[in-house]
Amino acid sequence: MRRFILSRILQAILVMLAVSVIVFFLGRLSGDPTDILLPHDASEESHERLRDHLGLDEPLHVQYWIFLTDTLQGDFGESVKSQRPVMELVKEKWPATLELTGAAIFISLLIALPVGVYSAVRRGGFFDFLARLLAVFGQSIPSFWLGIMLIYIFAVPQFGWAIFPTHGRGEDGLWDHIHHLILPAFTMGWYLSAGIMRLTRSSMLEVLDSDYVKLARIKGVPEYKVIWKHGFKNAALPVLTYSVMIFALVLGGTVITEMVFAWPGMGRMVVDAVYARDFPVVQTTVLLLSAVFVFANLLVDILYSYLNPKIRIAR
Amino acid sequence: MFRIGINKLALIRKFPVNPGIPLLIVLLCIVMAIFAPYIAPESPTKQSLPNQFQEPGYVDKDGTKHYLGTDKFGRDNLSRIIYGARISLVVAVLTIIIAAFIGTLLGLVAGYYGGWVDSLLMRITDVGLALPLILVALVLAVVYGAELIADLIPINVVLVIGLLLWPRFARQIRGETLAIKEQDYIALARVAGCSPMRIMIKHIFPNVIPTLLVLCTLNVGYVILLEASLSFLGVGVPPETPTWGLMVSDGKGVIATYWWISLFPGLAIMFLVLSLNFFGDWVRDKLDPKLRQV
Repeated sequence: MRRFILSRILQAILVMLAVSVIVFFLGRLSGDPTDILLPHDASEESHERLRDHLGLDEPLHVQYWIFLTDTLQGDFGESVKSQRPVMELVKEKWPATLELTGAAIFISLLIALPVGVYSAVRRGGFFDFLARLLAVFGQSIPSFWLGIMLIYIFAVPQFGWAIFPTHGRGEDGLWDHIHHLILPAFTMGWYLSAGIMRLTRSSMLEVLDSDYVKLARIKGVPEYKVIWKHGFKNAALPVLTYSVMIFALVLGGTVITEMVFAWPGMGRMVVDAVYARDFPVVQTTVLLLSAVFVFANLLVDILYSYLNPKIRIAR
Repeated sequence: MFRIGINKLALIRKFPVNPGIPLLIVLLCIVMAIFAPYIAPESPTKQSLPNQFQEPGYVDKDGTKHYLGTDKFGRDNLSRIIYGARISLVVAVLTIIIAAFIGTLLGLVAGYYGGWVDSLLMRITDVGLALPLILVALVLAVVYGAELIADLIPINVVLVIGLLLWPRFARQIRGETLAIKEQDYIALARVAGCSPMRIMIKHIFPNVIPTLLVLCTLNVGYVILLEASLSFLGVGVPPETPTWGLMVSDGKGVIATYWWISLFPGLAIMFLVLSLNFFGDWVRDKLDPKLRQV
């Protein structure tokens, strides 16, 4: 067991090291960074001075080593545009993205769990058909377009009801927060709910086919209790782990939704940074998102090996 | 690592559906893309100031009917959508070819040789999966700029998506290879003196083709969404290019008054991706009973 966990942790570290190499080169793709940092008419002398200041005269591997050790010490450099430490910017924007992602997952669970469970119970029936149709739709609608259409329908006054704000994040009080959250969270959650629904359905089908569910039915346990207590409770584990993974994954996927709804989070920050070629900000964001993903995977792996010894032996 | 990969989840779906209608829509898009100059009522880049922001059904002074209206430069929406199918399909086909080629190659090698080769290749795959795809694609597309080869192939978008997508293929092909490798006929081929290369190409590859086809059809829709998202963000293609993502983005700011600019290209994306997903499900059910879920 300990060996399994250790080897997983080692793998995760190796993956993160490789990611850091890629991220390092991502920042150097565009050639000489001083071309971007300095005004067009800057003299060769000031280029030279800035290069010296940024340590660009060193050989690449030395530069990488400095980048790596700085990063490991929590020093992610300074934003080129705003001259502020990147970590400070991230700390400022992080909560908004977390809020949006959390709300999106919440909404997707709200849609996906009941639909998934009942489509498994009514397997092959009309409801099941509708539910699976819904799932294919969920994965086929471009979320940027869905967002714009939701704005058109619910936030623009041409139909006489503009019940939601078109953009931004709520500032005064809980209700204002929720009010601003609903459309963007639904836009993201809609796409996510398809995967969760499918998993819930297949996981439920497996459980409903088991002996203890049959026994419960024979004993005359009421159907709702069979479904939720005997069935769902046992089918929920893979669904919940998947939701955790999705959480890590979609943190990167908020970019589009944040752009559509002018949501002041990491996604918008990073897109602005990409356009401005503010590479320290871009690098840090990519690095952090990858780290969250790798960490979530590690967690799920370890959790699973505790719960299911077969996995340990098979590997 | 990454045991509950996204691929596996994408495969947990089954839809007993007649592939006729989806296939028809896909074919329609292909025909639209190939014969765009003959079908489109107007050039997709023809600007005309008096025709700005006209509603669907508007007939201009020359007697041309704009069935889906015009945008802020007076360009015909329908023509742009017809031409837009080109970029979407070209990007989809080329990226899938790149990703499938690299993924199959590495998957076969990793699965066949096992040991440290396998470990190394799978860790590389893990790295590919860990990178936030859309973000990296965005950075690369911005850095390398928008370049269209022959007015048709946004080469940087193709390369970027292709190079980021192969891990999805490699992982699955490796798994297949691992299983096939244990079969008796592979052992026999080895005894008969076949080189590893020959075994991989002649004996293992034909057996992973069904899985490969399923992976291709299931990922095509995803690629189209990805390409549309990138062009929505304004990267990868020059700003006047007719692409669906860019058109939706053009209409975003004026959605309150000129709804048709965003609505129709978005519908085009949705119908194409929807059809591809239905068709992909059908292909999977036909070709690969193993992947079928209850």
